[in-house]
Amino acid sequence: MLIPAELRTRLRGLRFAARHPASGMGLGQHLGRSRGAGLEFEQYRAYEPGDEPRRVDWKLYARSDRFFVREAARDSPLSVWVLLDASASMSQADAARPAYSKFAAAKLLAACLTEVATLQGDGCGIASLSSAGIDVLGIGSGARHRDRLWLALEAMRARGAWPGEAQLAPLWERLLPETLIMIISDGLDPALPIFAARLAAARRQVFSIGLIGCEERDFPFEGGYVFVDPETGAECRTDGAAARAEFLLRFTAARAELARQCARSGIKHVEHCLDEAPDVALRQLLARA
Amino acid sequence: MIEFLAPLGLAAAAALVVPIAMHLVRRSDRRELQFAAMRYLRARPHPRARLRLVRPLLLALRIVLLGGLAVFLALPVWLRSAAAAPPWVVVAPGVDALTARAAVHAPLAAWHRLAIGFPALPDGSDAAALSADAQLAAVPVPIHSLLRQLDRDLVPTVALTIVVPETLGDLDAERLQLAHATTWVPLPGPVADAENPRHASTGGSLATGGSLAIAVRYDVAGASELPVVRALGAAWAADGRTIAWDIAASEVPVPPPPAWVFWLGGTVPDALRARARAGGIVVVARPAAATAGRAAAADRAIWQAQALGRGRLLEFTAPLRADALPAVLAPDFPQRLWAALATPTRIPASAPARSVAPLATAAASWGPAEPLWSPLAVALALLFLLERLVATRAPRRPAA
Repeated sequence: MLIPAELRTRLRGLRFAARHPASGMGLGQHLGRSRGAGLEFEQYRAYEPGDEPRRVDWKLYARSDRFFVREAARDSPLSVWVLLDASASMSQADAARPAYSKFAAAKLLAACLTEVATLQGDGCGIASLSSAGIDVLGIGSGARHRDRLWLALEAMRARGAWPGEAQLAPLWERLLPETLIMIISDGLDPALPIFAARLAAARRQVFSIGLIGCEERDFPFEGGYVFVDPETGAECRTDGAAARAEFLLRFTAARAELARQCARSGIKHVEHCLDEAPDVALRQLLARA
Repeated sequence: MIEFLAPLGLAAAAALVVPIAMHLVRRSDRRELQFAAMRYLRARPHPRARLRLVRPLLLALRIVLLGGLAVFLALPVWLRSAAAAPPWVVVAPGVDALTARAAVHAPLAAWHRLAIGFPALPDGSDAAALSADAQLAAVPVPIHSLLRQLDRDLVPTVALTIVVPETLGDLDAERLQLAHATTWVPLPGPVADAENPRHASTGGSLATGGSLAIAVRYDVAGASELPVVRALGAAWAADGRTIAWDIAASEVPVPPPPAWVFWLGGTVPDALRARARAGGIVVVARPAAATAGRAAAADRAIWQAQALGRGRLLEFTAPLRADALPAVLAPDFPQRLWAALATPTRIPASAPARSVAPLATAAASWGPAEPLWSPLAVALALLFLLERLVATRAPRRPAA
């Protein structure tokens, strides 16, 4: 079981709010822009040639001798894509909790998101992005699809680096406009906000969760360390206590810059520290404006 | 106070470098850490060189252990502090207790008899103690040995007054040297005329029981002394002694085995002196001028014997002729000469006390010492066990 029971309980109140509900994708729970046949009356409009005769409100015609077509607001379905940053840097974990890496946290968040989507009847899909390969599990809905997604999540591993443009190109065919895209990453790769911004610019509603390790937040190191970049293998020898102030300064600045970039692109960005409960970030992310 | 018998052992403390180096070397073994946000770290060209010691408790134990080992190798002794103590007066045997007390004015001093155990000296109030002390005073003791023992055992600041008889017997070959401030008080007493049993020589061949070889060498002037020598030989032969005589001119060398040589000639050649030193006896019949003068001044002795190396040189005070030395005519002269030659020399073993006053050595600053190494060894063994215990204990999980 990917999601602890208590966490699952707390997910009940969460809902995705669609800014651009998909049109023409069947019935869903979200208020759509398209009008047409439906249960909820919205408006009358004048008959135009080509309208189906069965959609003409004959009782109104009887009263007014004009043809009006009855239109209903159409509830649209929502597709949620969860994009996981599966680069090697996501495999980092705090020493206090070595089993709970960033990628494990990302998988847990992804599972929560699919659970929320399934609960409200929306379709969801998952893609893990890494230069070592892009795994995509397409949009589907229902508990069985959710379980399939969870099974796929279990098998995912963080490796490689952030994929290049060419590797990401096929993804664009799958991430249709007006879908809701959740990017879960550590926000360390400079190419990632650019990718997110392009998604957002192309009529996708993008949310971003930035994962932060406790050690990155606090930098509790004392003494000599050799810090190794898990993606490039670059080394940096330094003294923990001596490097702390400068690191915290630069890291905070980088986080602020990321948040600024996201805000500029209309991306809702929240940060999630590994020692926090996952639903806090989700609640913050899905809160209605 | 702790003093070291072998201070060079402290050089072993240089081994302290080893554990310290071991514990420091591990410091440079920096922990490697996967850190994704490394790009925000800036490598410092000079990472702060902080001397960091891993497992300080273990290091402290090892330092104490090695330091203790160095101290152990230096053989520590505990020196009793030189507390203020009354001066000592020791009275050598041969000096009466009351005489000594009268002669030395030391009202605060501790009086002791120079005997084994240094018993207290009676002050005259107890007749029994006095008589016991008188018995003790009659027993000759190795004075030098006892004084050296006293010098070693006594607290260093104690002033020492040594009352000795005017003539001291049984002296050592080495002049006495004491570290204490010493007053040397010779008092008239019975003359210690102990005979020194060492330096005895009878020419070597007498003990074998076989015939005794006597070589006689004479020069032209010495030929006149030959009759006396022959008469001596006849007298000794009449006493039943077997003697192989070898009488020749002075140019003929004396055959090797050390024996008695009668030299009837001028100056004693070096070869003969060397023979005497090797254990022979050389009898010189014609004295050197100095010997003659000395003998005349001393007394009317017929001969004068002197030790020469392991052997002896016996010089007659006058040429060995009846006219020059009438004593040769005495009927017991051959027996006396035989006795003088055949019995070991009586080498004087006593000396005037004033001439053998102890010399002062560099004053030792400590009193008697107690060895400390045995308890130290036990402590070190326990410490070693503790060190093993700490060292083999599962090391703490490195702080992340």
